Amino acid sequence: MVDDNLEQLLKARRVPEPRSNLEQRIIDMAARGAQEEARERISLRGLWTSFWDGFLLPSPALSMALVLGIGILVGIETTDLTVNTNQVDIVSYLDVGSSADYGGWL
Amino acid sequence: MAEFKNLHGISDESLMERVQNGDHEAFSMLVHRNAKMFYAAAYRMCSSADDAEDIVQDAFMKLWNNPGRWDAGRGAKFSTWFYRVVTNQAIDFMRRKKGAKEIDTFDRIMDESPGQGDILEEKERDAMLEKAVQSLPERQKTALNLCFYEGLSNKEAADIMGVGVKALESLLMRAKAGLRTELERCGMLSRDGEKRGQKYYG
Repeated sequence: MVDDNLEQLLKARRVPEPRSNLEQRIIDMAARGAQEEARERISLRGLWTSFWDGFLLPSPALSMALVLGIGILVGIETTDLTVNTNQVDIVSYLDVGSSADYGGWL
Repeated sequence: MAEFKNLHGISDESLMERVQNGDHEAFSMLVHRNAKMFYAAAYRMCSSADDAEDIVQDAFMKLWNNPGRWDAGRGAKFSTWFYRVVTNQAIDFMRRKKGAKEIDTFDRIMDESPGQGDILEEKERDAMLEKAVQSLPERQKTALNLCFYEGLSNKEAADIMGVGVKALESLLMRAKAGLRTELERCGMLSRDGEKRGQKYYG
């Protein structure tokens, strides 16, 4: 890659030793992080996070499609019911009117 | 390392899979095996022992906090993948630091301990060499570090840097030319490519 003289020069480049406890510091820091995470999970903040996570949609597109489908279905069903209810209401209203002892409206 | 007795024969890739399941002991083993090697790689990128330690520490913490980034299915070696993490970490670190006051490598090393004779000359040579390497553009320096110092193949280095092999070779060529110019300028290399005299190689 590099010719001999340049290579020899580059090989002379040295790296100072790290502080002796580099590895231990990293390991301890990771362990501390894991402990804090565990502690956070049982803290109030952790509870709130878990509660809030319950509302998250795992697949927003699918959920929206499902909600839309349910909405259309319920809409159709509700329309039918409304018509029937109105019919029943009118009939019962007329019935009430015609069968009342004190005359009636019609 | 005695505490990792049952992990000694396990490859870094298998340890990584254990880390993905939150195995702190496997993580510790990975750190013991690799921290110094990646510290050296980080040092060569930034020329500061303190910064190199911070870079390696941050890279390992990223690994611990986001082990899912390692995709065993791709069949990449752990070391190749982690070189990419450390290299990116070092580049980010240096870019962030660029705004701060730049410390001249030569001055810093010279200031440490103005010793006598050989030690001083050695320090002077180290500082000049370090300065020459640091004067290279970021990508050329990264290519040089990965191929020359870390001993990675051109293909591995190209993968880590996200470039093609041809582009990597071009970066290496330019790094070599840039270094030659810089070392000639500071008198460590003569114009015909010969090393300069007794002062540095006595």
